[in-house]
Amino acid sequence: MMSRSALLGLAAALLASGPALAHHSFAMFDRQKEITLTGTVKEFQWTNPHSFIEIEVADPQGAVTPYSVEMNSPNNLTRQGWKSNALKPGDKVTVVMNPLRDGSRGGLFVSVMLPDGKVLGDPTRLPGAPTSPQARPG
Amino acid sequence: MASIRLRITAGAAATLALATGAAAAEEVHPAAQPKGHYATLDALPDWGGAWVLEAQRGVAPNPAPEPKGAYKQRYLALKAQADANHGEFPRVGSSYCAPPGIPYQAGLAQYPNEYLFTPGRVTVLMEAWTQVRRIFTDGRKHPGDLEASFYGHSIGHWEGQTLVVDTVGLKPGSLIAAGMGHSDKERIAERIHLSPTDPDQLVDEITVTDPEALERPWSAVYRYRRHREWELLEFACAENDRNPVGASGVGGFKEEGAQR
Repeated sequence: MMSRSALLGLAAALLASGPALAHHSFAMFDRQKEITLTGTVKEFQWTNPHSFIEIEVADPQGAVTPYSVEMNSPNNLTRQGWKSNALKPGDKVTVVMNPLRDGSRGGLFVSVMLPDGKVLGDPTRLPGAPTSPQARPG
Repeated sequence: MASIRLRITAGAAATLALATGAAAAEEVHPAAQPKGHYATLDALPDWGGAWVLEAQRGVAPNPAPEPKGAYKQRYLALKAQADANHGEFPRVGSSYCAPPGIPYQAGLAQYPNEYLFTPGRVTVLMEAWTQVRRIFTDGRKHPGDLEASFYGHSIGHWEGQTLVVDTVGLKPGSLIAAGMGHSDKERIAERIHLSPTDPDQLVDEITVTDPEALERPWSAVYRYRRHREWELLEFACAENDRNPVGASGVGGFKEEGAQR
């Protein structure tokens, strides 16, 4: 397991590396908008080319709406400290995403707060989340 | 390295020709018979570990390639579409699981590469899209009847501690830059070496010449950081590709993905 300082160094390197040539363009997501979803993990797809969080969100009347939250590849997530079991079906989580421009039920992952309060992703972008660097996965 | 040329016997060649339909005797190059030459590898530089692109700090940014003629018109048309769609260059008739080829992939962030030395050959393992590039250093020439491919045909030699590589035979899908194609005259020259001031930085000096598609040769320098502790990971792109490219060349988003 990577030490916390090494992980922070890696995060800094990734931030500094500028626009990355990705598997595909992220033009389909509106990076200027953020939507917060609170719901239940249906599935964590730890897959290439990209990982996905499948989450179900219930409204006050109990109607359930599924969302797909696209993430980086398992390769890059691994080097950021993620594991394939970071999210499990049934976990109650809060996810922040940049929504799809076309209004479909999905978006680009920004951050997630796990049932135990731990935050993965960008810790400064989750409402109510601790913003100290120690909240990063490690 | 000793230049060893072996030709299979005429009888064997005839059998091979019958079996494969090959018209001529095929040459067996030294890299295909490496035994007895491994000791020579100790003279090569230490490129162990995984190498990942690092930010260009304190150095001039790479210039943009300058397309010309019909290639420029094609690029400008694609660029206009990209500008109208939040920067996404269309990919008509392709998939995001198709690799970008070289030299474009040399600028790929996040995904590391690994260099393996065996007698007569340097093999580049690229984590992104799980790809392999072979650079032959056994003295062979480019084949005369080369079929184009994403990585083309690479031959190289060592000048001291620098690997000098010449690549031809790149297929149209192998890009110079986003939206920027090339002709069949494209040639890629590389000088790959450790930084003289930083032994954990690998430098790839690339010059692309294409008299039909570029106004002038384009040169870029990419620098990679060594991570000895990293292992390359699997990247099987077909596993769960939920971003299919539509008829317009723009990526989509499948709401249903792999269920397992």
